[in-house]
Amino acid sequence: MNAAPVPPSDPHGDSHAPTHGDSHAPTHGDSHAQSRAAGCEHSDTSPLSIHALTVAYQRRPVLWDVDLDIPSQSIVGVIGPNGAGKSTLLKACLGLIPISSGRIRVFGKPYEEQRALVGYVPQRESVDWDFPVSALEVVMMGTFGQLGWFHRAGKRERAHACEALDAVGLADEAHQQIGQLSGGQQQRVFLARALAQSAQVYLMDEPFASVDAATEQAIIAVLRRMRGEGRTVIVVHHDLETAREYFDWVVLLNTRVVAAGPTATTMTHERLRQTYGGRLTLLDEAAQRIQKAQLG
Amino acid sequence: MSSSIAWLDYNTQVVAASAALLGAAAGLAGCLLLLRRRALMGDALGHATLPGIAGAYLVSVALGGTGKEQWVLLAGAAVGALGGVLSILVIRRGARVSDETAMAIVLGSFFGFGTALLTVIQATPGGHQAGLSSFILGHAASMVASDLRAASIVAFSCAALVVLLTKELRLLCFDDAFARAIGRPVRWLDGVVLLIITAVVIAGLQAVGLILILALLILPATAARLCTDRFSVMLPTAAVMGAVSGVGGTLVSASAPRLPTGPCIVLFAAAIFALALLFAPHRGLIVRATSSRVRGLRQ
Amino acid sequence: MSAWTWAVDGWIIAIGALCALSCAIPGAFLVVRRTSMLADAISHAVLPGIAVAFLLSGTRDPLWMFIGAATAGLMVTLVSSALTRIARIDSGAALGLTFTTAFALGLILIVQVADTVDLDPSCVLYGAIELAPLDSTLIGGVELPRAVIVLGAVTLLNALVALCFWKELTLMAFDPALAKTLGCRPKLMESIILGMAAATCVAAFESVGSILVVAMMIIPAATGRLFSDRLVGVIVGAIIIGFVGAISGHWVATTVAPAIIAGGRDASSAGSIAATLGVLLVIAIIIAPRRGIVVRAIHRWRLTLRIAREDAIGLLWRLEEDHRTVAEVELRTLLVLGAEIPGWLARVALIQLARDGRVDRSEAVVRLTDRGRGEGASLVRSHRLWEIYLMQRLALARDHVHPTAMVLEHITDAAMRARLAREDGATGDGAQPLADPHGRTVPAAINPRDHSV
Repeated sequence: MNAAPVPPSDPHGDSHAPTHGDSHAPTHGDSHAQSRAAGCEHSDTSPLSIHALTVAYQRRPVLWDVDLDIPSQSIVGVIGPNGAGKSTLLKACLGLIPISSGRIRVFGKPYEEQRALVGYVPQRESVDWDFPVSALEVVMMGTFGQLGWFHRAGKRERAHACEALDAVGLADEAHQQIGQLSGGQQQRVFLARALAQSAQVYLMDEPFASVDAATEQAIIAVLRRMRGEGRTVIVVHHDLETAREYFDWVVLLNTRVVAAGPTATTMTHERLRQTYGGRLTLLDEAAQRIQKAQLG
Repeated sequence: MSSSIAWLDYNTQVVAASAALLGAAAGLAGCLLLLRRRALMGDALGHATLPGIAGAYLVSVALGGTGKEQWVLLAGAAVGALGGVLSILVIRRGARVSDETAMAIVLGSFFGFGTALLTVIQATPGGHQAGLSSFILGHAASMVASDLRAASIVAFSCAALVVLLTKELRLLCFDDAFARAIGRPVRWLDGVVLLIITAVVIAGLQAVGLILILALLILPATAARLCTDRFSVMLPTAAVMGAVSGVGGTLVSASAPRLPTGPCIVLFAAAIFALALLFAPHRGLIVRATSSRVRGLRQ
Repeated sequence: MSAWTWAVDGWIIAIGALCALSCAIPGAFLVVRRTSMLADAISHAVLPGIAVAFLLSGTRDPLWMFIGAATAGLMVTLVSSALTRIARIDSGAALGLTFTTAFALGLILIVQVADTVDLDPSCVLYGAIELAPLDSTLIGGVELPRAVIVLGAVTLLNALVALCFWKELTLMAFDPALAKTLGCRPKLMESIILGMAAATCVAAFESVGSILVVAMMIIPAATGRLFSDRLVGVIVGAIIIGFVGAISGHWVATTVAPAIIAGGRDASSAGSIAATLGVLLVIAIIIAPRRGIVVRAIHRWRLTLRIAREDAIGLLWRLEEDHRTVAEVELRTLLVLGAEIPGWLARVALIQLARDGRVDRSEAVVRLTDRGRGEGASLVRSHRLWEIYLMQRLALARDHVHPTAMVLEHITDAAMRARLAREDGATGDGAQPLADPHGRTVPAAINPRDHSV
């Protein structure tokens, strides 16, 4: 058994559903995820499919049994209150934080094999903007994924990065040190870096956070163009007002997935109330007890 | 007159050349340390070498050696530094303290252990002549041609690693989450950075000693950072500043009696830093003061 | 040296202990404020401080040395924070470059005046605690070492300051933003902490050296942090650890070291105390009461064992429900596979259950006793109630609820079961049994407390 008691799967317990039968793999990790995999097949065409994902941060469950199949060629909003696990969901998909159980597939294959297809835009606060690099150099970092070790970025990468900067309207700022750009421009530099990754699925952590209205419009225009090119964009967002306008599809998240589906039918008043207000006191209490039992 | 004589002196040439190479390597390594925001790690590493040196001497003597073989002592220093780094990681997790506290703990206890061993060694026959305590404050005057060779090996391998891995190191220092997301092994890269720092610290023990090596690591790097906003310019700038400090400090110390070389090199580097602080093109205090004056007048 | 001479060793230990006492308060604040390396910076700045003081005053008068060193210590911290603020230099780098530059300057100055006065840089680094008892003065008819007087005075000063500003200092240490809104003037408090640290460093370096000061300030406080979550506890812990470190460190230096290294003499007491403090910290990391490695391992082990016992009872209950029996070997295998525990743990769990009269393993097959059966029913009731809850409230798929319920059942008590049953829609009298998502009946409540809330 690992440091934290993993859910012990019951060899022949209560579940008599056909999917939960006789595969009790005694391997490391979580056997129930594997036994489930035998039952439910996910479409290989979904850019991002998440299966029974649970993430515990310092052993406190942050995401609980998340199931998602993101439709391709769409702009998807991940919406929920603070501390709902929105950023955690993205980071878990990117392998930046360890997951407790579950499975993540990018076009039907594990993320590690599909890295080149996934682009990432972290929160703006996550880096030191005083760092001595220019906007163009940051954008060129997007091409490093395809570039091997010891290879220097050449003309091709440079041209690619310039294109990306141009696409977000920052061609004139290419040689500025990043600290001299405005907050909105910095956000667009990150977006350009993601564009330079030439990925198919993009995970963006609060790209609209504290940017001015003009930047927000510029960013959403870029996202729409990306969708037009057949890419999928998943955006962590917290503004309910604009969500209806921006997204084709939404995931309402509060530790668990409250609802996921097309924006018009999913963002109902009742569902939003469940997401933001609906507290499951018993479950919260249980989560606290688990944490306490494990910490001692 | 005395400085021109010193310039011709073969010993001074050896010391100056070693110090220049060392300064350049420290400048490069310091940039990584500074941009990865672990500047004080250099201090903990430096202090942690002492018990390694003393331990290596004791082991060597116990095995029938003289305890004076330079490479044995330096290997011990490397072991000590490595032990220090590992202890910092262990203590940070085990005692749940901040990075800084873990560094202070390792620095204090390792150095204390080193001095305890040193006092014991100095009372043993032959222990006093081993000159172990010269590693604390440095003893550049005793450097010989073999030290110059060692310094050049360290400097060139550091430079080669940094040049080969520029792209990865820049990514690591700027945005390690992104580096991980595109599949770069961040831990290994951090290990490479630590390896470079350790090599520089050990190479610098003889010239400036284990306390002042921190200055040689971060003074040129910080000065270079003030002068440029570009990573690719900052690295060579810091290397040049480090090399100039090495040569300049050596010459100053040779120009008059009773000027120890290590502290002179550090003060030379500090002078360069002060110049950069005042006159740097964008971040210099004078430029910023005048530009804010101009802005004030316009309003 | 085999036996201690109390006139000498007693004083050495007393000086070490006083050092611990004076360092505890500023040390605790530096550790909780996460600015531990300030101690390192201040203690290195002592060297240029005393050199400059000597150059200016021309005497080795301790008062001048004290003033010079304290001023240099404060200057280094002020200059480095100014560099961070004005030139936007990373705070660690600013601190490092300031104090090393000051140290280099101090080395050069000391070499310049070396002919006229005996100022040895290595004395500043390691101190001379062994010689401190010899340098004594008469105070009120009692001959006291000067170090004891100086350290005692600084200890009193620190205690006084801490008592006067306790409320403000603690608030500042944990939440500077709140402190500011409450009008506590965090800048002033920060300066007070710095002042205490500087005065203590300077008072202590002479007898114990600047590196032991760093060790004395930071290590006992960090160790105390392992034993207590409250600032007072941290300080008291730091004092105790410092005392223990002083005594055992000196013992190691005078007794252990000469015995191990042949032909050697006593090791430096200051160095040994610093190293011993490090060892004490490592020991504390292992055995600390709540956060120690051992306690946490035991706790984890017991938790695992409890879960294994409960899983065994639940398993037996479900087998009974299906009118099946199982041999002990089989049961152990099921437990090992299901809970992912090593085989010997499953064995221990079953032995414990038999000892407590929950299962009977005297026959070929393992059976539940009445007591075990009751507990099994409660456990399975919790499990199935949670499955219903998870499906109803979280709209989880039927094949997803089982593993989650498998975890939750272990932390569910009677009161929680009663609330679960109500939320799941059970009738008050329990006349109509509920069915779980897999069509199984939820066992009726046996524990009388299941009916109360």
